Amino acid sequence: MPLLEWMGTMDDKIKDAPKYWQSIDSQNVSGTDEFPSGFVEELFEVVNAKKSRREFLTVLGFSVAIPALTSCNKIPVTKALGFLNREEGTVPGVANWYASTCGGCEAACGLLVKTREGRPIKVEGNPDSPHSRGGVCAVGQATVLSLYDSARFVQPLAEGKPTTWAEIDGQIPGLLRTASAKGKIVLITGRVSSPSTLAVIARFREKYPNCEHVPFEPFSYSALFESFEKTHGVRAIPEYSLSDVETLVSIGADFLGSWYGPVAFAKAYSVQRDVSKRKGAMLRHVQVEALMSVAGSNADLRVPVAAGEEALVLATLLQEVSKLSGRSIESPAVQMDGRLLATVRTVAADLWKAKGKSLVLSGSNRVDDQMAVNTINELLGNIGRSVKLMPAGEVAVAADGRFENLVSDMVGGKVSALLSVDANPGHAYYSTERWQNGVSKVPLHISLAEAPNETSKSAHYICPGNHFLESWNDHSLGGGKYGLTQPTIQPLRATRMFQESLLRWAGETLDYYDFIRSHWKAQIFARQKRQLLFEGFWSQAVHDGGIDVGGASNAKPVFKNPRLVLDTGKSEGLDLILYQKTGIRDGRHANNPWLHELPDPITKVTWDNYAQLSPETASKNGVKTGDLISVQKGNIKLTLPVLVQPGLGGNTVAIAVGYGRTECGKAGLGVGKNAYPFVAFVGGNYQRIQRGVQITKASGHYELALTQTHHVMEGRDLVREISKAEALGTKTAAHSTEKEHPSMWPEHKPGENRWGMAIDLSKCTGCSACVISCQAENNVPVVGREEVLKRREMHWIRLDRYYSGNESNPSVVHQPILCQHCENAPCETVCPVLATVHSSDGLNQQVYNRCVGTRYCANNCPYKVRRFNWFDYSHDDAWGRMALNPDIVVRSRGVMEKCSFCIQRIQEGRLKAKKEGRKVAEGDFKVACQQSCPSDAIVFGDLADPNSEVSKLLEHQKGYQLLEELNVRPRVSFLPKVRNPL
Amino acid sequence: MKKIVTGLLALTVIGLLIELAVVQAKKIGNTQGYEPDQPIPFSHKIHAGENKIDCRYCHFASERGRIAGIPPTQLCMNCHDQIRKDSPEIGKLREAIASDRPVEWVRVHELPAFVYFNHSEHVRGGVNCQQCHGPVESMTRMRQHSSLTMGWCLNCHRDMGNAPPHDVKTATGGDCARCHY
Repeated sequence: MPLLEWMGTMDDKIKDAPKYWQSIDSQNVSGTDEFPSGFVEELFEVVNAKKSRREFLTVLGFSVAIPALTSCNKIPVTKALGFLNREEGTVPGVANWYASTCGGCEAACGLLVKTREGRPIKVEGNPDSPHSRGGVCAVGQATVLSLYDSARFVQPLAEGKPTTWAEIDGQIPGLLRTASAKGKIVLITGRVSSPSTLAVIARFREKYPNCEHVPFEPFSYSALFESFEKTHGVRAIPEYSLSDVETLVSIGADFLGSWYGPVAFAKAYSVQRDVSKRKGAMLRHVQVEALMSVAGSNADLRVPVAAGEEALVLATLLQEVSKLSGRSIESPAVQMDGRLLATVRTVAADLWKAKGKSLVLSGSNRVDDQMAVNTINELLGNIGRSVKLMPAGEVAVAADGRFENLVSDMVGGKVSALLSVDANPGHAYYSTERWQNGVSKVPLHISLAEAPNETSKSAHYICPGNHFLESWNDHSLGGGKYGLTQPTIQPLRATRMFQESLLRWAGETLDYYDFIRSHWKAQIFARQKRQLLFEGFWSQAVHDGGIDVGGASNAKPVFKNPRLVLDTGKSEGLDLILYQKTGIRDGRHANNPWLHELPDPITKVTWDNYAQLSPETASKNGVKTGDLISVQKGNIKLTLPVLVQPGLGGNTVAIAVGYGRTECGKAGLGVGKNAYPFVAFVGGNYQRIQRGVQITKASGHYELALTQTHHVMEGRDLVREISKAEALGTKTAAHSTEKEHPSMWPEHKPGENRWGMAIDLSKCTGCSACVISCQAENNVPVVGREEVLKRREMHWIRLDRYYSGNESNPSVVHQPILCQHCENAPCETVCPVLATVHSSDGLNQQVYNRCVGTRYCANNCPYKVRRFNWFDYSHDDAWGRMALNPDIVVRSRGVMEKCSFCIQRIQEGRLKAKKEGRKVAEGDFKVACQQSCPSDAIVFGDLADPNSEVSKLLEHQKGYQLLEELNVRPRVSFLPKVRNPL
Repeated sequence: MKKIVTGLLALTVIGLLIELAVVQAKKIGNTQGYEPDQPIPFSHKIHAGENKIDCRYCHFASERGRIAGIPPTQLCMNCHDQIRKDSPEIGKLREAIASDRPVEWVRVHELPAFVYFNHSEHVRGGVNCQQCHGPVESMTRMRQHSSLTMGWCLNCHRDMGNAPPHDVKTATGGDCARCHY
């Protein structure tokens, strides 16, 4: 039978047979009905034939040798493409850096974007940024991958059919005019902190007077913003400053994980908690919360409560503080049991002691709760000091109530056109049904989203926007500070900034870049005196990634004693709290595989969401990690795997939102379940804490892909803690470390440099920015859930999280673990091919081209930091490949890899020094994890130089190495954890 | 006696075969002498040899970065806007600019991805282009002159053994990861 014909018949047979092969045995291979005769026999001839062992080996050897030799003969032809016209300043092989502002979330941190041959490949914090001061979080780091997301829209679509911008611009204005005549046009965006964008929207509304702008955010802080109007009579955006805070009390606000602006908080927090630099005046942090959050895991005192009782604690705190202040404040009566009350009293006393130098935060989305917080801060004299009220004029924040009204209007058929930008209510609105119902009654829906989402799914027109790395934009950061976003690449597809679309449809010919410039010239340039000419002012702002024109008003608003209605009831049944995970946040980054595979800082779960239960609740319900349970509130029911979380507030279920996307690229599709339906609109805002939920055990088990399953240190002091007195040297540390051990190895000859690292456990918050930074810098692959379950994750740096104390309220320590670059490296002695060897400057080198994959090294590594390429991990997505760092090889299957101390950056620093005719010095380069760390916990430098920061740190502080007793002599040292207990 | 002769003969043959195998194996992946056809028969002989254009005029990145770089098409047009502008080969350049598609040159010198090499430190260190690339100024068609194997790199760095910082010990510390990462 000719081959093609035979293949045709096979196709038919495959169609008829849905049963897949499990093994050869399970198939009937003797019959002739499945295969052409002789096919199987031929296939297995070598195996079945009665041949001697020697003959078999000959055949095998020959069959391996021939393809190997023939494949060596041909050299693949590769092409070399030059630029057609070189942009000024671009040199092939040399990176260019641009200052910009992050678009990963509303915090708008300052960035430096690294581009190679015109492609952005890495983002780093901009140390000159006035608020983030050099840090970037994991989400910010991962945005560079989202730029190359192959699921993004390629071009505009009209009713699902590809079209052109010219066509779009021809049709849309007419449609909008008709819509404007019939009813109202609504523009949905996220929070807009860009003054120019607001001006664009104003221009658009001039053209279409019936247009309403409604910002929507799943985590809107709308109660927080609203509360200042009621307590201080101002529409304000708070800016928190920790610069002289001594006591910080947070009630359910995860300010180091996802709340408000975690990077800015982490930066200031680490400075305030530096015990040696601040001579013992260390910030004290108290966290009262239900969820075990990143912030909570760093607290000196953590008080776990049920999710529904956070308000009760707040009310009690208000009562106690007002008692201490002697001012009469109308506060609701509270009843609290003795032990908790005693704790709250101690905390209140500590706050009072630090009055004017303290801060109280709450993560609640109830206006009265936030008013209570404002009242406490007012009584403590913190308003205007640690809480600065910035006028909200240049920012359009999301107000939950307005969005709720909008959905009602949509359902009522009052909306004649809907324009949705980057907000995604199709996923994040609590009732998908109501949203769909509303959308179905809107005759014209235009989506300006970057990538497909649940909202754009129902749009008639898709007019795709740019990624922020392809866009111009500005950001008002409060107090006269502005950030600028500049494009670092031409739009990869036929997309355009949404502001530009709005300008076009408003009949404006100006493009958005010129629009920003004219807006800045008129509004911002005039407010400063340093630059005489606008061009100079603008160039400076673009170069620095923003500008500070000053003029923050110091006027202290007058406090109005408000009437508070707090929900101070005790929780009877089970409470539910919905939260954002560090990586996926509210779900907008759900198609980013780096963020899915990022282990949660606390639970260490990748790729899923789950229902967290406290150990007590879990045992009461007879479930353990991985068992499925149904969580029910009213008619909302969700079945999720359980994760038993020590330290979770009693009687609480915690579920992360942002999962269960139904419309996005393949990375995020169907990962986890959508928990937004549990959100309720109560008291004018969306509430994410619910009382009275039921859980029932469901049948089945779901294995969660955890990267840390063992939580105890087995009696070894991997993590050391010392008291404040010990840290200050006024008391000898309990751990005396014997540095000298007899060694069986010959000493390495000391080279010119001795690279080493110090990691301060007191500063590490566990935020995991370093993990993603390392992944982006070193081309670390994503392996997927199945492989993580097999312990095959590839991250070069991981965060081990340890608990101590009792299960219901443990103390937590985060410990970053990377290759320790041992002097007496156990991996080096077992490698049969010398693929891992010591360098003259003290690095433990992994030579990929020598490695044959025996994995002996990984077996012999006491720190388990070596990663093996079990497969050629996917770097085959043509778009995704563009995010690869060209200075680092992509490792192939069968090769071991691990942290190299960013050898490419050392090399770059060394080369820079060499060209300048000097020795490489501190400051010539920073390694990726160090650079991205928002709390400066990682210090890298030259141990051979006694004046380097790392040398000084290790000399003055009580540095120690992991598993010193093994005498492997790591080059990574840890500074012990210092707490500041009450 | 006959047995010994046969034995010796057999041993010699086997030895020769092994020698041959080793010599052949050493050539695996070695592209020395590679001289592919290019989409435009660009002649280094005319440009660098006869007209004495400095290598770095076109390969401007060689002093600054890792790679010497393929010159931008617009750079060719700096001269060819005036010189031989009617040649069909120059037409290909204009065509490339007009259609916004760069000329697809066939790459001659290619190091494996796991090798780090930086032009700038060699060029600035006073190494002549010809030392590695051979008599380019006399090549009508570009040819890979040196083997570009690791042994070839090390030989050069060893020959300079008397003069640190260019000897292999000082330049690389003898570290694999100076070049491989």
